[in-house]
Amino acid sequence: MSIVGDMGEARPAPDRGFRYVISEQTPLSAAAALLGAGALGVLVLGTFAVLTSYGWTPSQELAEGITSSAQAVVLVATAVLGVAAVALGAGIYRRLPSKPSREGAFTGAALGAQALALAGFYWWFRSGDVEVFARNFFEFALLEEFWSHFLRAALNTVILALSGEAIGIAIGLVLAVFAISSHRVVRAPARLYINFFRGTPLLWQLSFFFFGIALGLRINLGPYEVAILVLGLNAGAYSAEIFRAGIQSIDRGQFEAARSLGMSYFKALRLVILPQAVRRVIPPFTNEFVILIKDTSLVAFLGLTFEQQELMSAGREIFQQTFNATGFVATAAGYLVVTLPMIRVVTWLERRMRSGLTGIGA
Amino acid sequence: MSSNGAVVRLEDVQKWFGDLHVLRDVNLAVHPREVLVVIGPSGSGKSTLLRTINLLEEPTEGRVFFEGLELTDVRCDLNAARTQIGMVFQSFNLFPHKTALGNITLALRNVLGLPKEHARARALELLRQVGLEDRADAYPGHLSGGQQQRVAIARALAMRPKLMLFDEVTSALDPELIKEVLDVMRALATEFHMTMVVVTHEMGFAREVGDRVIFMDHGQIVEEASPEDIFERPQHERTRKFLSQVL
Repeated sequence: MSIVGDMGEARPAPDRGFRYVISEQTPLSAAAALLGAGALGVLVLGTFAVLTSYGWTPSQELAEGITSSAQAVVLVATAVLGVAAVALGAGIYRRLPSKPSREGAFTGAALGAQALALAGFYWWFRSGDVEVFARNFFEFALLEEFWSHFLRAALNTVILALSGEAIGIAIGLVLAVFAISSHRVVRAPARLYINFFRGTPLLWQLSFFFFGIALGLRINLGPYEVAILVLGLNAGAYSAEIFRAGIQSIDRGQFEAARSLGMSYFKALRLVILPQAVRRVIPPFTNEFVILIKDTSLVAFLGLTFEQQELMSAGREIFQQTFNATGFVATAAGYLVVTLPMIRVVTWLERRMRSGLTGIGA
Repeated sequence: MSSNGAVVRLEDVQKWFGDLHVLRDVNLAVHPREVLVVIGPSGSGKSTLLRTINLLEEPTEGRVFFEGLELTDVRCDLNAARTQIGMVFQSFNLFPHKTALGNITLALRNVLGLPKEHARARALELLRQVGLEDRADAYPGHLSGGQQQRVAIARALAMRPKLMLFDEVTSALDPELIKEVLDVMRALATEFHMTMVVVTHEMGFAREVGDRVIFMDHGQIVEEASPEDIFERPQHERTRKFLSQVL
């Protein structure tokens, strides 16, 4: 409970850390928070325990676990705890004495509601034909023989994305410099390129450059090489727009100061404008890269050889060999392993730049 | 040539921004070791006039000479000329990705081509002259406005210019920081006899340091006289009106 101290007395800055938040809880707000956390905990840990005891593989046993009465008990317990958390948290919220205690009640109610929603969805899901579903999507034993192929596919995805991005950065920088020119005749070709590659689907571009240009003109390029090239051409258009926006966000005075020191247009760009612009565009750029990683899945339509397959085509390969969709589940997991850390990096960078710790803002 | 020993000469300069006539028939000469102060109401064209001298603004008509060289001639090497014309801006315009030292050495290394140690020594010497040698490794974001502006002056001086242009350099500063910048400028004028063109609202500084004062209004040079004459005996009604509002 909070105690209002004497005003005017010199005091050290109050501790607003974890221990302070805990000490501010009332018995009821603590109960609400524990109930909510308990509901979610029972759901996750209980389900994991039940499914593990039945076995994750083969799929038949997994399906039995999902439809078992033990799982039903877990879900009912979750529902009871969740309803209690929501009711208690919402009921006491307005009567609590301090902000941290209200935060505790709110946390409990929110966690309880989330547990209820998940349990509800799970209840609906297990009332369907779980056995057929599990056989088609959760037959994890099937993946064992494709394990090394899958790793190579993940590597191919990363290679495609990285080399595409490298080409994209190079093209994007040149296009951005064209696009900020004061001469319309210099801007025009850059705009044409950018609008063409942003305005047509990547799938169309891949098909056109592979089936149209490479095969049609009998240029000796395989699907893998064409894929890297087209991903680069496409990323170049998007990178150009990001760079252009970054360059134009730099205060005009920077350019004037550089020119007044005798720097040429390109020296000012290279030494003063670009170093600042590049730092500012790192978050949108990483975002672009995450999108590019996922876009490499479209390469699957070009018909890659077994060694060249990336995650999407590897999933398809597994499906064609086994008539089982578990490979696609693994594909999604593969993409998440690559993209989730990147997304975290973007969030971290954005927070860092907003707080101005990098000393970039002019 | 038509420069007659003047550092800067403007001949019949006109400047339009679209339909706006911002400089009208401007003729001007700045002589060696002279401190020319430009005053006038906002929007009178005084900053544009200053920026015309190093061609950050290109005149729509007329000619600009620097040391007898016609800058408005398309064959002129403008970048080489600008290394000899230092400029300091109202908003400092320090490079935020470089330290105070890096701000100064950037052009020394990449424009003048000085070797690294040589550039560094010269930069440190200038930081010492503006009283900031202990802040050499600080980024602009960690300097006060007055300190930033002194670094900006050091950056311009490091090029060893023959002319310095000051564009309302104290207008963005908090009142208690103005003096430290004016002190540097005063020393530059009185001890180093730098040729300077100063656009300012600091009338006390204009009076004390200026050799000649120009009053501008509506893009025209209305009156040109010694500081005593312009502040004690302004000849034109517009000058009197302006001075009565700011003094």
